[in-house]
Amino acid sequence: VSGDERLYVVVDCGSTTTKALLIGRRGERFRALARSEAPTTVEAPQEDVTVGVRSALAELERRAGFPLVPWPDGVAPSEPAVAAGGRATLLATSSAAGGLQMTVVGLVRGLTLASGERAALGAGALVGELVAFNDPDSPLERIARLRRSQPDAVLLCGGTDGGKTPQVLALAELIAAADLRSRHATREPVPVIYAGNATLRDAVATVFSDREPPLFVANVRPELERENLAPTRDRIHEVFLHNVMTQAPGYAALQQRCAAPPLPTPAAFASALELLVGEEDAEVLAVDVGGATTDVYTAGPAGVHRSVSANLGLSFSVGNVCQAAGWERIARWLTVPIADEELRNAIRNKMIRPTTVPATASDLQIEQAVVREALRLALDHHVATRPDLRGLRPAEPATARLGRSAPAPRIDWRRIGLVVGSGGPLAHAPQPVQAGLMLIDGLRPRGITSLAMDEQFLFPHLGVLATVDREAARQVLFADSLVPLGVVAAPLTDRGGRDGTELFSYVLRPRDRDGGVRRGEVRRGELVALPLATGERAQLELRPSGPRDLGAGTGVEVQALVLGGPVGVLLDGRDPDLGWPRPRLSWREDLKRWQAAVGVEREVDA
Amino acid sequence: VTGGHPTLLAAAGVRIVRRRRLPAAGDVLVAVGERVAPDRIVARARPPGAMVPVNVAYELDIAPSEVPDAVVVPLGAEVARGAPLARTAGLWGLLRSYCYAPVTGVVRDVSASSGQVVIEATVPAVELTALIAGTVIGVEPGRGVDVCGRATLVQGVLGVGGEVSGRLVAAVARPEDLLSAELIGPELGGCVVLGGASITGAALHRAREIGVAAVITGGIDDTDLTDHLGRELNVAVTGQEDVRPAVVVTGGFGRVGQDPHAFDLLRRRAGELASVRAATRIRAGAERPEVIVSESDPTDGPADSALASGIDGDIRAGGDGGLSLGRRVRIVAAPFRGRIGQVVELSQRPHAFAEVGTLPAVVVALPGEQRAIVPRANVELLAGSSGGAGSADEADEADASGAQDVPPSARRPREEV
Repeated sequence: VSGDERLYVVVDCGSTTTKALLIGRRGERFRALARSEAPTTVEAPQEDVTVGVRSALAELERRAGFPLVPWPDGVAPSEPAVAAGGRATLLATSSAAGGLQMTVVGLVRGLTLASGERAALGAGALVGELVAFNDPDSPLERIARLRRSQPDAVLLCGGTDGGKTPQVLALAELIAAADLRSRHATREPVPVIYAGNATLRDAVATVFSDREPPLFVANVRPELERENLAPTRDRIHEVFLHNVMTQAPGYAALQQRCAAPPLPTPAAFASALELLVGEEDAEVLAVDVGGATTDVYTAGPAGVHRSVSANLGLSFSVGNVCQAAGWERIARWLTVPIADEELRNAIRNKMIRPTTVPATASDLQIEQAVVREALRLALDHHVATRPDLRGLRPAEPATARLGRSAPAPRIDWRRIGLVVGSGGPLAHAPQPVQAGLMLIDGLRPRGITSLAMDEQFLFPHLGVLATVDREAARQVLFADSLVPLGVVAAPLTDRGGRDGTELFSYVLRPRDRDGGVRRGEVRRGELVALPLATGERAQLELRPSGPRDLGAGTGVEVQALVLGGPVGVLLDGRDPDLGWPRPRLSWREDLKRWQAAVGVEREVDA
Repeated sequence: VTGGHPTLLAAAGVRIVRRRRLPAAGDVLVAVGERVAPDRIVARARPPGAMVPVNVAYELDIAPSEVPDAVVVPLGAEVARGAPLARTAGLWGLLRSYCYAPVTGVVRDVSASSGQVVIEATVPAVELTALIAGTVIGVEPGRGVDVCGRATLVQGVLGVGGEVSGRLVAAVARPEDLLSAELIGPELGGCVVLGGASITGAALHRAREIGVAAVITGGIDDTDLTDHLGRELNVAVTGQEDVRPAVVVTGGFGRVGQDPHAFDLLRRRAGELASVRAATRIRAGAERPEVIVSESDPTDGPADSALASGIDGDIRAGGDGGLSLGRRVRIVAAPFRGRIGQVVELSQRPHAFAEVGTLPAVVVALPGEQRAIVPRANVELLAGSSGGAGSADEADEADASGAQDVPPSARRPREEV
């Protein structure tokens, strides 16, 4: 550490592990200098998050060799740690104690409720329950749903400003009747944020007259055609800091020592994506495969959009992925025959012992099969929650689509330049190429798309760091966090046809060395892998055969500068839906062929 | 388990504290120092009913301002489910339309602005049993009690069906046996049945027919459990299922032998009353199912204050060292899944597992001179003692008071009213 003395300690309090990261200068650049971990201590017996934070800090200080954040026993400093004489600035993110759990109540599922959900997800909340006025269930059932969801906060929205919508009051009465209380020991009333028709505020306040008054914020959908999410998002952050974090044991003390307000982990992740997009024109698609949920983010110049597929996770909720996808679809990813009963038992064993890791090739195949399907389902869900991806023209009024079927939602891969994978099952894949294949098989990127991993799960740390030192966060992001995997290319449109039909031809010219030019054709049903080592650059030229679109229009040649990685350059001639449904036997042969093409070793123990 | 290595406990003669709490404020029926039996009702509550709004204006197609006149039940009066709540003026009963009460309860509010009537639903009383035989060592007025007693305690990994009790019967002779339908006779009705490595679908069906209270099994096939529940169990949060027999799985899915130590402990207590808590929460605040057989005549006084305050005993925490040399463990993932052995080596350097990568490992000595190298994450500590003086390396005290007990009658109703 020299010259610039800026040092940052960022702690991410996860539901099981608290991870601390020390960031400071090494030479000219900011780098991740040291890391440490300790079990999270929000639950009994400790019931104090700072116990885990302090043990992670102690370990970090031991590795750094000097004191970072002074934390005298029993003294609650009123100033942030830096002012108290410590060397490092402390920052924090948290998803412990379940993160920020919200329930959203609105008038119409497709309109105000969807806007409210987007605002809540954008604020990093886990949206547990959606209650709409036009839901078919009875008020009784809706109250039961509200109570079951055990939210930390409720968002009520509905009606355009000035609209005549007494139904919103009925929803307010529903929330008041449910009499929601904090899931923490304090049993405080759950805060209600009202982001609906502004002219009804007084009437809403009357409904809550004998309870905690609602928090009023600008309408999330002031007009039918216009959303205004930012004020609600900010208000949710405030609620997270003042109501939720202060009730979870130990958080008040942690908050006092931080130099900036702690962020919910997903909000910090989104902040890191904004950093990654920077001034680029392209969009980034990021996926975070977790134990309980799979989060999908799309980030571009217009901001970050996040969707959370609750219960599409790889541990506690692994069974849900299998049921949602269908057991057949999980089984199709296995190159070894595994009896149905054996597959089901293996999945349930993972569910009841979520911390186990695959130790055999067949268990690994099962886990990676589930990841593929979780990614596929989570991307579908993401597209469904993004109105601009539903094939609608921006100018088209929302009312015009009522009463007729919308075109099938799809993601516009021409806008996505990079896919980033995150989360244990991707990060811990024994071979990086397996992580690349899971991303490609699960998300089916089209056009030319780069692939990368947030291997150490540093995005949340860097996201909160960006709120106080953007440049330091940016430097660490590219130096220590983002690991390039390679590139995948596939036609955007493929009208179908027989396997073996030529789809496009390619030329790959290495930029940093002479020779080594690769040329060839990609046929339907094929997966062609061209090695391109990490750090190597090459010019990729693709020419469609026939009326196909590779990203620049039908029949138009595309060129791109690509960066190598363990996956190299993958040219994907397979069906967008991989030919599902398809007989299992011929499929298995194809699967083996594709995996051999990319060099995945699949020697399976008996 | 937050922090420590996952641990399953099986011990006899341990002093345990059970925190019994009502889901809503009520009356505590026992006092500190009182001796209680497992089935003693220690607290009772009549929780406040949910406020159920009824949109009378909509139902009757009238203006909200007309609603107060249309309501036929006075404010504060009780109305039965299905009885008229409001009616339109009509013409001497002709063309008159009615709005009926969706629940039984008390009319709490009539709104002329929204046109809604709010009924506070009447909820049946919730009764809480002591669960274990012992002494009441603490009372939280209005909420519940802490009961301390000595018992044989065996934890499982997954339980469905909530709380139930019955006479403990060993239906198989060995922990690796299969519990088949022929072994379940009519005399097992109402009993807690100890099985072996698995239970067949037919046996589960038979147990249901004759009214077995609970089954304790090492393993179970997913299809049989799905059949039993009538749905797939997709998230490991259980205890609310309305099924009998309740099922406690101690090993996992598939065929997994019971831990012989745990099996013997339970078999020795056959014929006595066993309390089963078949509930699981794998996420935050892990909660595992358990089988408790109380000692009928505990000779000890109340537990010491450390236990009463909810500090974990060594057994539950798996000892301070957690995964350490000499500990008994069960391997919980393939290729040695279900095997039980002893830790003989904790390698400092991660082990390179073919195909799956380099991971922190542990060497486990299995019966028959076999040694298994497995990832540390794939073993579960088996902790416990067999009771009696100095019989085990762990302390003979345990406290699982971290899990809030919920009686069967306090289970969240299907429709919360």
